[in-house]
Amino acid sequence: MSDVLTTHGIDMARAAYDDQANSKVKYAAPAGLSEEGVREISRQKNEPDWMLAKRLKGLELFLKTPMPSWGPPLGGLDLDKIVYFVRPDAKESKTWEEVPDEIRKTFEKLGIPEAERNSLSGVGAQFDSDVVYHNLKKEWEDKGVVFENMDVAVQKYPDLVKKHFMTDCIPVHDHKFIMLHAAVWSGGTFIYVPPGVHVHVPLQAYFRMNQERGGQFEHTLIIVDEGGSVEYIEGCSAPRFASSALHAGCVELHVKKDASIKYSSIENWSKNTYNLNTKRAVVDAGGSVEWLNGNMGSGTTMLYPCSVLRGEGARSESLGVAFAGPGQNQDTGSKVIHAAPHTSSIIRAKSISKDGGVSTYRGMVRVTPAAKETASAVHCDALLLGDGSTSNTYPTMRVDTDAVDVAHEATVGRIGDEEIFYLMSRGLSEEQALKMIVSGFIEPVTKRLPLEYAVELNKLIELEMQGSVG
Amino acid sequence: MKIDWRNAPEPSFKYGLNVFFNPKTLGLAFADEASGAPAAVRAPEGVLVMTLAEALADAALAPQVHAALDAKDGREARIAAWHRALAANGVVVRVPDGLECAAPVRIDLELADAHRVENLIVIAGANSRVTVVEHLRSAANAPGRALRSAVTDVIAMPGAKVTHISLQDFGARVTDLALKRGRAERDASITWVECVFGGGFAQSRAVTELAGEGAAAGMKTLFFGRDAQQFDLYQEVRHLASNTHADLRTNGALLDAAKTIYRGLIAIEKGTKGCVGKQKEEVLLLSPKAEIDTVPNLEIASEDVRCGHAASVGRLDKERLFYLMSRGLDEPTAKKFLVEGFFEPIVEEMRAAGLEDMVQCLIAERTAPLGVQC
Repeated sequence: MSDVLTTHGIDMARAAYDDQANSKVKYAAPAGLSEEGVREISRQKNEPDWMLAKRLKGLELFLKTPMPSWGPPLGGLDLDKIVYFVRPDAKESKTWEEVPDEIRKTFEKLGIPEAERNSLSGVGAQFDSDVVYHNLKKEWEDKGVVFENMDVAVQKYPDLVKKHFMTDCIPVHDHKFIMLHAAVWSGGTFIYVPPGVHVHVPLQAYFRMNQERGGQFEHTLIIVDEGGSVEYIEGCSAPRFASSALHAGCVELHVKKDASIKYSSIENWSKNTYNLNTKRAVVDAGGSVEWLNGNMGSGTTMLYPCSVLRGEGARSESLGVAFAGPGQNQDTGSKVIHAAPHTSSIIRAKSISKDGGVSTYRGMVRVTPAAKETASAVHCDALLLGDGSTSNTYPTMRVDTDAVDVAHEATVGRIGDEEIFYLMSRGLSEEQALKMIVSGFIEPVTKRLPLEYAVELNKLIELEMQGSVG
Repeated sequence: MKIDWRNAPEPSFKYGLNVFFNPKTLGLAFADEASGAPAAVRAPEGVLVMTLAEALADAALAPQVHAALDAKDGREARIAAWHRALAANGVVVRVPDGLECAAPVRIDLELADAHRVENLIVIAGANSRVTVVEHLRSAANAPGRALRSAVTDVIAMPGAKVTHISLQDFGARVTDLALKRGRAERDASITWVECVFGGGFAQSRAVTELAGEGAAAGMKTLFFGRDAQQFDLYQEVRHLASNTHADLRTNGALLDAAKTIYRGLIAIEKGTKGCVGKQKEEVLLLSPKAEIDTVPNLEIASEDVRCGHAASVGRLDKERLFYLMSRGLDEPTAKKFLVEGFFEPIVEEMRAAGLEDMVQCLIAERTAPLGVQC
């Protein structure tokens, strides 16, 4: 039987995510959004004109676009009180020793340097709006792999960035929060993998919001050239504040011919964060994308990773697990657009709603007339624990051609008394039995994660399950 | 609250991202007048059949009839308002407590009017048992373009069992807007069996409330579209009480450029226990131009449930086709067999209505283009 965390251990574990560091701030924009503010971000970053133009376009569209009319309530989100740009008083460093103490301690609590030493090719860590630490193992640098802070990439790789940044994958006008993102984005990750290069050890980034009423708007752009492959993992967290924070990140994956990307993300923003995130991949012929998403934190999440399979034979696989505890509203799901022949997709979504939490699967499979000989399978499972919890399933399948196989299945249920009884008769306590069943329920997701992330996900779930038995 | 249908917003038929009908193609030509003359109703002995006016004059029945007429419509505002404005006529079928009808109540409609608005209210008394069959066709000499709005209410009192069977085979220029509402009290059950073949645009919205503990709802739906037919199917079951059961099953096929939007919702209310909801939808796409949009939703607000839904869209199973052909059938015959077999579970349900042969013939007529004449 795996170790059950002691009360002390639980507090320690939760504290690692919830504590705010007393780090110094170099620059914090005034709260609220203004053209002045947007220009200031661009000026401080010394950006080329085309990027400033993009930001201003985003701002213009954002101001005239209404809030979404569907999905979870966003009434508690006061966009005028958010601080859109916060720079910690630290330069980007290549070694952890150079990172200011307070920030380093936070990341150490979160286990970042340790993970890097153990099994990763490279790590980027972002504190509020700026990246404070970045490193890529030399082996990959020599092969032409680029793993950079997004702000640096704008300066160092202007052509690549200009061609791919918010163009054909996620355009600026996509939706309200992408417009906002375009206006105030800061930091994030840029990865370029040259043709035929396989980066077989994962690259990692960690994002942390430390400022009260802060907003984090990191931009992740990954381009894997023909026949190349990469695995990228990101983690996110924020301390617990009295007022709401906003995360509106943007992830763009460009999977070229026969290339592949595995993208994993464990989000654990504090429970008063609005996580309104957008992730999309465009996949060319023979390419494949794999999404792994764990949504544990945030008060409200709206996240629907999307794969656009635009080349013949492109593939997509999405695995997601969402956990909605008291007061949480996890509105997630996967989207796949089959726009070319012989494309295939698999979506597997797991959700747990506990003690009043609301989890919603909202997904879409679209098969266009061009997508002959396409196959898609969607599978959703929801588990309800405790009184007053809600589980919604809203899948949409739109099929425009006959040479296809599209299937959807969903189940919603509770843990059976017999199952608990059986495990208890084998000597487990009720709480252990419950945890074991929940771990088993999400296992299809955890077993696809790198070990340390699987451990983290299990630990998080265990933390959330603490005290489930009255 | 009454709104003039002329002032109500234009129907949009938007059901989410990329899921919509173009209202211009749906033949929604509303008019100031509509016929509501009762269709031919045959009822077994003991069952009372009366007009809406007669039922409203009956003090015992009036409250239930009023409640039915005032219930939420749920269709596009203009359709609901138009129906309300013109629904002066209708039929009320009252099954006395404890009566177990051996023969069904039969309603035969041969649509001849350009505009028709009708109501049917079935009130099944406690522990009664009744089957209502509606056979809907266009009259042989019908003028063509027609718009019909029909609302059917089924109220199943404690322990009653009601089966409503309908076969809709209107002409291609008919726009049919059908709304079915059911309310099942304690231990009562309502089963809707529906075959949709006709209409240029056919909308069928069925909402069943399981209001009493132990109530059950069943839905068996068949649709088969061809040419440019458009079907808008919506099925909802609301579990308002504990230990209620729902079983929804839809089998459909589409030929040519036919399009169907199928939406479903199983909703389990807070505080209920032991509810079971199942929903299954299978669709065969038999042409590259056919389109199906499927949105089967679940809203569960109680932890003590078992719910599931499954939906699949595809073509005829290649292995089965191969098997039949390896037994000596030519391809068109093998395909025809597979399509007929696919619909068999629903066709079976039509037997009680004596409409089984009719349905088989309508299926055969549509499978004929696959290569075999009926």
